[in-house]
Amino acid sequence: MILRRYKSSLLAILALILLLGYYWYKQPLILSPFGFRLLANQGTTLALAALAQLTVVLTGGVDLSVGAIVGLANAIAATYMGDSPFSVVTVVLLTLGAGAGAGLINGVLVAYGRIQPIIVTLATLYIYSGFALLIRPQPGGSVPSYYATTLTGSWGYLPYSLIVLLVVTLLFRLPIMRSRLGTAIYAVGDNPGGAHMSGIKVNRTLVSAYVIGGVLAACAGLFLTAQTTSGDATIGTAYTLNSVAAVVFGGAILGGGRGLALGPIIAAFFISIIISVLFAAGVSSFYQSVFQGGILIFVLMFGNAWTLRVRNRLSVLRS
Amino acid sequence: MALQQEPARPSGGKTLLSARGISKSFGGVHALQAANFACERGEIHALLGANGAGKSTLVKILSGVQRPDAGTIAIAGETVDFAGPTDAVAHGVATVFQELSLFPHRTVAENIFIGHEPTGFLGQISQSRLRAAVGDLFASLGVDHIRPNALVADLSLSDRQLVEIFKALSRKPRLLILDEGTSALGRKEVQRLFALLRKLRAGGTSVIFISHRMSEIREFVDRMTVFRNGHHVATVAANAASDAEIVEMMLGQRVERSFPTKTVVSEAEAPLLEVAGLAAGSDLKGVSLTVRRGEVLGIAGLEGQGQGTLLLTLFGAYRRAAGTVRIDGAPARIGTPWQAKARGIALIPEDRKTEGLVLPMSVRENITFSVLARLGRFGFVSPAKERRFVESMMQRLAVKAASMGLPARSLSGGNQQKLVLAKWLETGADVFLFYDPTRGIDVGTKQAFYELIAGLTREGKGVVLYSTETSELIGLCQRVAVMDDGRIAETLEGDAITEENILAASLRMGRARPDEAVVVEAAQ
Repeated sequence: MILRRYKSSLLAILALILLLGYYWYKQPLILSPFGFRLLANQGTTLALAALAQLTVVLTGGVDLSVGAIVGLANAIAATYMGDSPFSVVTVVLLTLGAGAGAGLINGVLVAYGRIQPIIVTLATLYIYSGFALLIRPQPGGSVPSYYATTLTGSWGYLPYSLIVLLVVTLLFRLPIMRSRLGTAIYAVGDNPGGAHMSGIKVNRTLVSAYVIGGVLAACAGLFLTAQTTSGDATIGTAYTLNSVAAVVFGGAILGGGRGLALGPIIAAFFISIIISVLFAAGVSSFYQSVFQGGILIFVLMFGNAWTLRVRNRLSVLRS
Repeated sequence: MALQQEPARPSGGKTLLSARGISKSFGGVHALQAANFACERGEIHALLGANGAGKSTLVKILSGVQRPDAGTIAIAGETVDFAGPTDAVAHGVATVFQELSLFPHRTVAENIFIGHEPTGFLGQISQSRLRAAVGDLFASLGVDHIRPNALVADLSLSDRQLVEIFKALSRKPRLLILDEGTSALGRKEVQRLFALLRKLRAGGTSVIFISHRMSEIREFVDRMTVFRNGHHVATVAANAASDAEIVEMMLGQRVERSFPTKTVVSEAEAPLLEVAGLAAGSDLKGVSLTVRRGEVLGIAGLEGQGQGTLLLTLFGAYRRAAGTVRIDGAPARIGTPWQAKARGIALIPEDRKTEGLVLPMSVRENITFSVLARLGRFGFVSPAKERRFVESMMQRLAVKAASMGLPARSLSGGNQQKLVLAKWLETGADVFLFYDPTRGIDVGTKQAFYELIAGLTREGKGVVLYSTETSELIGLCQRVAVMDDGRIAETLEGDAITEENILAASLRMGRARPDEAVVVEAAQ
């Protein structure tokens, strides 16, 4: 039963195990407190961004502004954080609020503006990136060192970043997904017409999903700030498409209604670590992105091999 | 024949639902016209009517999915105006819809209580209370073969329908509407369901029941209301009318329409299309038929009895599970639409907008899609040849369009349908499959279409015509196969093709006896 529930995440888990095994073979040092911390820090930002993307993908949409919100959060945090614990807490809350606001705008435009999610979030991608540039025209800014070490340090073999990820996943995302709202998000993505006929408030559910996505993207931006200890308005760009890739790789369906948190988180680590592994394997940096893309395609084809076999061609095309 | 035109009220009843003067039209088609309907507290009330009588529209209005153009609805004396399904549910109306409203990738328990799951601390859904509530519901109907944790996608169609019924019951409704809610259930399940509905009825719940199974209606229902063409015809006690009377109420006065002379086909003619034991998907369970050159074979039956799957499977769009197809005596392997095209099979599909045409593209492009290879050389299309071809096609089919450069979207429904046909006429197809070709097009164009179909038969083509308009089948077909539950229930030929016989075969009532048919005739 449990195995079946997590079947969609299995591909990402197997791929990550193989990847880490190979990495360890090439670079035994990763099996150390330092190596663990490095690996965990590398994947956490994308894992949080993937959770943001997943929430929107579950409703049948896609959020191209995830990267822009990550960049906006990074710009706000690195510019205004200051040194006192009071200002740190205030700015963290402010950043999360900005993420929620960005998500709210996305959600309202999608639900009530009746515009396709991909266009809405492409437009807001430009807008949010623009705000980030206004706040942070040149790379720079700083955060207190205790902020950075609290999020990215480690206690022996236990990296704090994994604790951050667990806290966000288990104490923020999970309770929401286990409430009526969470069921409604899945239901709207699975069968929007049926959700309407079942008395679910479809528009309100959509807006909520985008707001949750915005907050999670802001979390990703806050963690990224701790990692880089400075601000750069354009730093988030890569997270948009990588988060979509992690979500699909992690077993969620872009059409909506299906997907768990575990798969995309694992896939995010896979995608984040693969560059370091290619480096360790001695692949020339000119070919690294070619390999990165090729490996993704290969893994996903492997994962799809058994799902396409039995169905009707017309129903595949219609779906 | 005495029909009670006034609703026969059960003694001591009080009206729960009263809908007065309900009208609703869709793009000029009147689905309901000033229709009245009333349901007492604590009764099981059947709603009957032929295809397109307006039953489903009424159900959608009563359940808040659609808003009426005119009319008032009152529940327990209180006038209501549903802004959406949530409103209807809040007023105690729960509906089991014809198109299932389930979530295939959620569990059975989540589906049943969607939107009103029992919650505990911090709004978390309480899995234990959810399980208990589902257990209670299942016990009330004696269902023990469905696991509450199973995914709905893994259930059989009948189990899904049960889940849909439980979903409605979980709302503890004052008024429960079952729109074809039992069509996939077996006899035993229907009996259990009605045992439960009777219990609910005793507690004051009312049930509106839409079904085409006369036996169920006779057995389980208190009263029935017949609709025809969007009007209320009569409300009678379940046993107050004979089958023949019900059929007559459903059909009413026939509209005379002229049809072209049927092409005479000799019995000796070798079959053009032979199909044996064709099965596909979940709703086509074994169909055998033959079509000769010059013949129109009608496919009739209530909607959703596998007719669509039959045509799509013949066209190679659905994978066939069993059966053989022969064309001109030679076995034909048809697994994809392009193979069908190569073997001379053409489909004029159900939804011309998505499967027949590319709406934003021009009339010219839509007509020449399937014959481009013949209109030029070396992969280039000759504009002059294309122009001549399109002009001759538009003339032949009398397509009304100001210019061949206009997008197909800008044409009327009838003219769009002509484009779909034009696309196929010159591909050299021998077998034409029509899927309800005249749905939603005007009378004049319908007439032109009948001429075209007759023209095809004169050229020696074979036609399979599925139509929801029985009069077309009578006017155009040499033989009519009536489908029920994925099989051919009966094939009617010659003079036996009458509206009464087709409807009777669809409802599996057994053939109307000749004397009854005479009575119906005389009454008009």
